[in-house]
Amino acid sequence: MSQDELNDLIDVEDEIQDWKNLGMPKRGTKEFEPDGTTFQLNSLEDSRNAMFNALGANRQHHIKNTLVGIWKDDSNSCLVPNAKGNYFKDVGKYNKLYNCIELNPIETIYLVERGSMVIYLSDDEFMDWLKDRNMEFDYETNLVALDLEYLYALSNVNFAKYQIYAYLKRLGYIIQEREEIEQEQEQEQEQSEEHKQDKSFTILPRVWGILSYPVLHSLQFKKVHYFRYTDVYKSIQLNIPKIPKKEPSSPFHLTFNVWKPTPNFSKKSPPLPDFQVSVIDTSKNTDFLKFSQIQQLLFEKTTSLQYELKVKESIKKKPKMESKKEVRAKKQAERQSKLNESTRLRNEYLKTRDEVIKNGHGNIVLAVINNGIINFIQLGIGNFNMSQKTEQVNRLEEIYPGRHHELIYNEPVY
Amino acid sequence: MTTTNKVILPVINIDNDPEVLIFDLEVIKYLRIGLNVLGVLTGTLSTFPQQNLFLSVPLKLIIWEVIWLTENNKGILVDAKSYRNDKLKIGSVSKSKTTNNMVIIPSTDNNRNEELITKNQIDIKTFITKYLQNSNYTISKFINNYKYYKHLQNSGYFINPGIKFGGDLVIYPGDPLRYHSYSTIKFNFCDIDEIIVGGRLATSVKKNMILIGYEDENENDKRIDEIDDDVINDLYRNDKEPLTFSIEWSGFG
Amino acid sequence: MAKKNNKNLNKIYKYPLPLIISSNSNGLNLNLNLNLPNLFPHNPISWIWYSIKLLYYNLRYDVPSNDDINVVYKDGIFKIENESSMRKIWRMGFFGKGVLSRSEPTWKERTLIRLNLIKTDKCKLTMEDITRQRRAERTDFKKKRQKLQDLELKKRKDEITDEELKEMDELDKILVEMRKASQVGSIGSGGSFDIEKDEEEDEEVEEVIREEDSKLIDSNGRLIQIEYVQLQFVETFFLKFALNTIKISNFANLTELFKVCCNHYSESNSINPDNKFILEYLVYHYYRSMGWCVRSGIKFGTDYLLYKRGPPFMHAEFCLLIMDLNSNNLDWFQVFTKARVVGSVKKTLVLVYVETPTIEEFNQVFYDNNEVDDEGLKFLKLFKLYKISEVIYKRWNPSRTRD
Repeated sequence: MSQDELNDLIDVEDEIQDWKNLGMPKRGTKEFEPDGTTFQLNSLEDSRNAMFNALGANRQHHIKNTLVGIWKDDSNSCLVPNAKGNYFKDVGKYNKLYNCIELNPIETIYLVERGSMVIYLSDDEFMDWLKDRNMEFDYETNLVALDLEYLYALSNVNFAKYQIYAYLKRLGYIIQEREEIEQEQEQEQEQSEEHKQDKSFTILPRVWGILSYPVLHSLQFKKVHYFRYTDVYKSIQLNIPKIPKKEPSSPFHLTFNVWKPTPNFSKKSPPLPDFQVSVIDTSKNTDFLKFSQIQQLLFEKTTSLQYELKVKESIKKKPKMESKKEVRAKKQAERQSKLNESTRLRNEYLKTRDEVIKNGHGNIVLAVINNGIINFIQLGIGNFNMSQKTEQVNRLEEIYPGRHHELIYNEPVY
Repeated sequence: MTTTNKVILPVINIDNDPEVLIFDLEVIKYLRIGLNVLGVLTGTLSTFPQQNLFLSVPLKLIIWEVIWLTENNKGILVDAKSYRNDKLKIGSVSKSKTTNNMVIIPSTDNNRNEELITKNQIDIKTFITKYLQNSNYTISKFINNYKYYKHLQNSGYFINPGIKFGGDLVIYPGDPLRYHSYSTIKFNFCDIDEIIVGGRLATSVKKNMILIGYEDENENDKRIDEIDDDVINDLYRNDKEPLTFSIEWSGFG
Repeated sequence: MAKKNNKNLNKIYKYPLPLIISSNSNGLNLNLNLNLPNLFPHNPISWIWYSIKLLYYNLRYDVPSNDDINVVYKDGIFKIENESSMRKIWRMGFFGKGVLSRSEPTWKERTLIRLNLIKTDKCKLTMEDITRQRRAERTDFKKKRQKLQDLELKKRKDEITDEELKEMDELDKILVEMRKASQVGSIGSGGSFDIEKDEEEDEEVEEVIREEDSKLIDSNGRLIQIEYVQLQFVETFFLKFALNTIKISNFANLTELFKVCCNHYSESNSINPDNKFILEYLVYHYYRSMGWCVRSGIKFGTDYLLYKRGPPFMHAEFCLLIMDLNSNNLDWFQVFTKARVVGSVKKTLVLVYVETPTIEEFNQVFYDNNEVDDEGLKFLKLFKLYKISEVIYKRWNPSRTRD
């Protein structure tokens, strides 16, 4: 196996990192077998110490930036009387009654764990103060400070959900829990047509009585003239429809809406999410999803039409730095424009067709967590037979109208 | 039975999906260095909060580690919420620390209160029952899987969950900080399909695949909500060693 | 894949299915650029033109006769044993697998080369050539040796000239070298041999062939073809039902073939609508009829591989896994590891679900002998009771898609 292939297989994330490499993760500097040498033992001790030192480092922030949160046990939430800093553009909700930001357990733990917020346990005195807010409240003297362990214990947090939330948040994504209400989204219009039936081929001959053999008759290819393989393929198609939607007995739901980091995110009117994620904990239940459960999740996703609009929007707002992908795409576009129109169209047709087949439509993300290990999976509905008329499929029809787009056999060009 | 020589295994969410999360660094050190128990770190590392390779406390223990520690009297399961609330009632509180203009949020409060520990301890039967609530495990499978883990742990290996490499577990000859693992473990013998795929995947990430199982498997037909002393005895009983086979992907020419 | 190869490949593999159609056989480069399904009223001319041409060809020419490929059913396997059929079935759509090869049946060519029975780039000579060459060398050697002996006699008789002395020296050296060379042997002209031995004891040439290999060679010195092509059940049924381009010995009709295939997966006498063969066949036919080349996916723990044209062109793009609609036949570990293996060879995993009709609906069509008098049409009706959906499964790496 070539080094490139190996590199593809072993993500950096798969290997347990040596904490001496903190800041610059590397691969493959480890041993294969303990040999009892002092060299190895010292090396091990160094690595362990690096790790323990990192773990023992204080979770802290500067006193000037202190952000205070107050944990309210009865509502299982955290109040932030003086919200400041960048965190709240996507985190927390405004609570009218108390006139301050309120965080759910997951958001609370996230901010405390990373050292950005110090948290105290609420009491009656505090709740009284909250109404008037005369003078400053002396949290230190009056309230109990919660350490991280106590906070976890009080919060009854859904640990699987929390791990996914924190994982994505650390990478800079904007993430919000979906409300239960959102499940009643508009129905995704199944725009699948009855697969095109090649009727003329059978009607015409009947009129003249020549080719009276319907498709897949045993003597089809013995008696009927075919001039193109395309027609052969068409005549053996069974036109099998898609499986209709059924209610699953124990449905999964989409858990989070996730956005790639954008500077102008608005909590009140968020744009359509880039990804919609469902958290699946497989530590104890290892059955793979049933088809009806997958259908249900895809159904809950906002309509594909709107999603594709969103994709168009995000393309316009590209950042200034061009990634390698973009440079390559530009070069390709230049090359394409030099070719003549029909070749260019043909290339576009083939490329679009490939994309339709490879990507399907209506994608959702599953965050699968097993004993603390997270894997992300993207599921989409396949569209090999092009029955779902997505924007791309419509484009195919624009380029070569009337062609059977699901047929990937290309007639040789002479 | 004294509790002083056992580490606290704090349990959160005992009623729903119980988890054992360790916040105490000294306990983490002891588990790793003294007992070869690794767990999985799941928390944000505050000094490098925007990456996922190096994570910090809490350390999550997987179910087999929890049972093993309890069986060997190394740890005691404690309901974290009620224990801490009880400590609060008797005035054992923490204050947030401020040193050098920095506000510090500690991970835990290390003051043990043995009486309260005993009061709030959770029995292993209860823990397992609650743990298996939303699972599709059968009791036989659960017991067998624990024994496979126990065999490997008692043999001195360091062990981590193996999902990333297509197995139930992955084992290391030494601390994973310094040593590569060379085997993924699959519980129970499997069909030809799984052998092809599992062997192929393992070899592609420079490991072999080890199948571990019992020739004549324990049959325990009790339902999950009937975890009783018999089940625990079954669980702890030292059976003969399980069989192991290793598989590597190979090719001709 | 070198681009230079493409032209050659296109030539060899120009038929996507084992079927010769009218435009191929009669050299009729018909180029009928017709869009068949649309009977738009505003385009009556092309419509009429098409009909006229169609009528003309139908009256004028016969449909090309395709010699059916013979398939035998032996030891529970469908085999193609005729050499040209073996080649044909591979080249025209990549069906079947040579049982002694990776896929294309090449055992015979490879063995001919291995046993030095034909010329290749590496081995410039066949065994016959080698034998001839050695014979020539021996003759030459003997001549020279004779000459040397004559000269030695002359020397003893003191009749030798100075020139002849020189000649004697040279001859001596040459003979030594010839002996050495023959002992070492050379690549491309067979191994070592004893140049001084007489021709009749010429068994060294045959020693190159092992005893096991010698059984492969018949009395005329030709290699016996022991390889055959094995067809999967789904391939056999496809070639019969969809294309009707094979003839299977001992099978009277399509229904009998169908029953045998179904029994391979389940031993009960009645056929259930969710019999594995039916599910596998439907998926096979579904993708084949969209132009994909469908091959077994067992290498990666999946059911099928999809190629756009075929193995010699580009690597397969998709791995198909047929999933049970209702029960959970796979757990997360299994799907996950398969997906990872599939991803490691840069293919996309597709989960294919098949919805089956009820047993009543199924039996109504399957056991109905009245309505339909052609078997092909009966199976068409049966298969139309099923439904297929696909789910595309990909690993997602959040660190990479963030930008």
